[in-house]
Amino acid sequence: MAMATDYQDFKEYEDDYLYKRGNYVKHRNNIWVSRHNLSSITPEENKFSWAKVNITDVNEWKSSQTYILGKAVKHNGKMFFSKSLWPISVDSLHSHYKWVEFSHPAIGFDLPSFDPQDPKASTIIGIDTNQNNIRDDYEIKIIMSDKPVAIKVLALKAGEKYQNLMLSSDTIGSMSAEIANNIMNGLILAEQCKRKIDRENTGIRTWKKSEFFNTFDRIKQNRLLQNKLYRIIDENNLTTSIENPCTVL
Amino acid sequence: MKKSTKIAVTILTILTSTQAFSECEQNVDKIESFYINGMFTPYDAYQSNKNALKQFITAYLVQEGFNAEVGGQYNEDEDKFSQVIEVARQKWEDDDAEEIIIDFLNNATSYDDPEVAKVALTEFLQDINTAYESTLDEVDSERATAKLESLLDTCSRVVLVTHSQGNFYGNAIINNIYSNYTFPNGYSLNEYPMLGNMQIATPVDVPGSSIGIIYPEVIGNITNNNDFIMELVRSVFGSAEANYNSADNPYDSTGHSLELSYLTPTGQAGEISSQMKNIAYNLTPYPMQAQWETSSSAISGFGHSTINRLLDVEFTDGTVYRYNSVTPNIFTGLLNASSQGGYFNTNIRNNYQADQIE
Repeated sequence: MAMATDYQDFKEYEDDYLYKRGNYVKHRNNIWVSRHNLSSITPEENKFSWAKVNITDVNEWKSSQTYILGKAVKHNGKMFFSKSLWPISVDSLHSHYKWVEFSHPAIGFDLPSFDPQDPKASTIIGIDTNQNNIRDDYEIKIIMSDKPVAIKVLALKAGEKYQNLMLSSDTIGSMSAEIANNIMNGLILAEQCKRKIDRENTGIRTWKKSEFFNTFDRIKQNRLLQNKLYRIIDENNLTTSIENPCTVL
Repeated sequence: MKKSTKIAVTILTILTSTQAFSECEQNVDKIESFYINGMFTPYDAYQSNKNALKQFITAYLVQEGFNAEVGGQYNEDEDKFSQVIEVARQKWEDDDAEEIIIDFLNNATSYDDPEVAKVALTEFLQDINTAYESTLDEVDSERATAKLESLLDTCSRVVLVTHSQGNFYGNAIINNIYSNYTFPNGYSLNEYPMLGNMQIATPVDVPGSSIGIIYPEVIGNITNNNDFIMELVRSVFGSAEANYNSADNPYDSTGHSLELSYLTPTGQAGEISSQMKNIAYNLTPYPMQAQWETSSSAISGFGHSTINRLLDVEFTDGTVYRYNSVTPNIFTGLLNASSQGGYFNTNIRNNYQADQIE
């Protein structure tokens, strides 16, 4: 059986290419399998021409089950997706007629469907299509990175804390010290967790704050809102020294 | 009253009348640290830096008499930071180097291509030089000064710790306080320096500025020779030379982070703690005669600093002498003597070099 193809090594969708049924491409962080011969049809959710390989909830392969195009399964710790309807076992000698072994940095994560061309994407708050309180572009950047899964999980939690700050803009004028302290404690935890990993793990790169505060507007808003919170918080009740900040992030 | 009875009463009076009567002067050997942030440090990073400093002091300096708690003042720096953002926006938005500038403004500890980053950041520093070299704005300055002065009001030694761009504030604040501050009992800080400054990754040309020249022993500085940011800053502002031969840091490729490149590596941490101890031990308390009151016929008060090995003695005629190199044992002997005048005459008066200070 062939080696697993990493997501990065899949071919990017090309608009003028003639795809045959069962061909597969990568497009906007996902793998897509063509359902028929086609050209100039961009892979898109809820459209018939392309089947998106769903990697959020992947079950073990079962010999009794039929797998349609694009369906992903796990088997012996490996990941496969189906590119045909042939009833071929995932571990047979002929499995390559139906199954493609692959790896993807987003396996196990809820990758948002995000259109970077959406005008709202460039606002300070940005877009959060899967409504998990993490801005989509940051979430995707973290999930699709080569960081270890544990670092990705922490980076996403930090992203929630950053987004809490950004979302406080509307209410900060009447915010209580308790709420301000909660938001600020979250930011401090994220900062200290990141530093602890940096300090204790040679070679493991954590997330960069500039992956979240990635425009001049967002950087400025970070400073202005932190300053406003500073004027509200009760410094004596801040959690500024925690032995294991990552465990409580 | 019989003569023998009178002597006994006098001795009793001496034994019972030596007492500490000034809490302030009792604190001359206490050492406080105080951190203020630079322009590029938002509040979450300020608190994390302060916490890192606390851990560093606990590990290295509590044993030398430092208080483990670190004081601090967060400087909002809102106007200047906004100016810097506007400069960046005007010049770098949609530029290939925009990502580098954004990393810089977020205090990144690595750059994807350091050589490209050097070119872009050098140009950026030239663009923002006015804001970068500036001192604290009025409100921030007043708050930081007030907090530092309230620490000085306790008669403790104070070591201000500043990092990177915040060293411009360190220079300005320390010179301002030295020019204006008088202790609660009227002595001036300028005459009795009890405030020092440890400058880390300093972009200034003369650490401590005027105070660094007048009292060089109360100003310290360390800059890694591989501090990527300071190398650029030096090329633009003519800052003081790097003075620490640092190894590559796997945790911080910029060599600039306060926590990762200065307070954490054992070499730099050892150097910083050594300098901070020297700063604190070179501070000079004002006359300490109010530390212990006595009703001796010759001496009205005295005070001692274990750190400086100074003994200040006020005589009943109002003069105050400062005796140098007086060990704690001698001081304890004086404190516990049944006749302090007698102990002073026998063990101190002609045994130690002294200067009249009042």
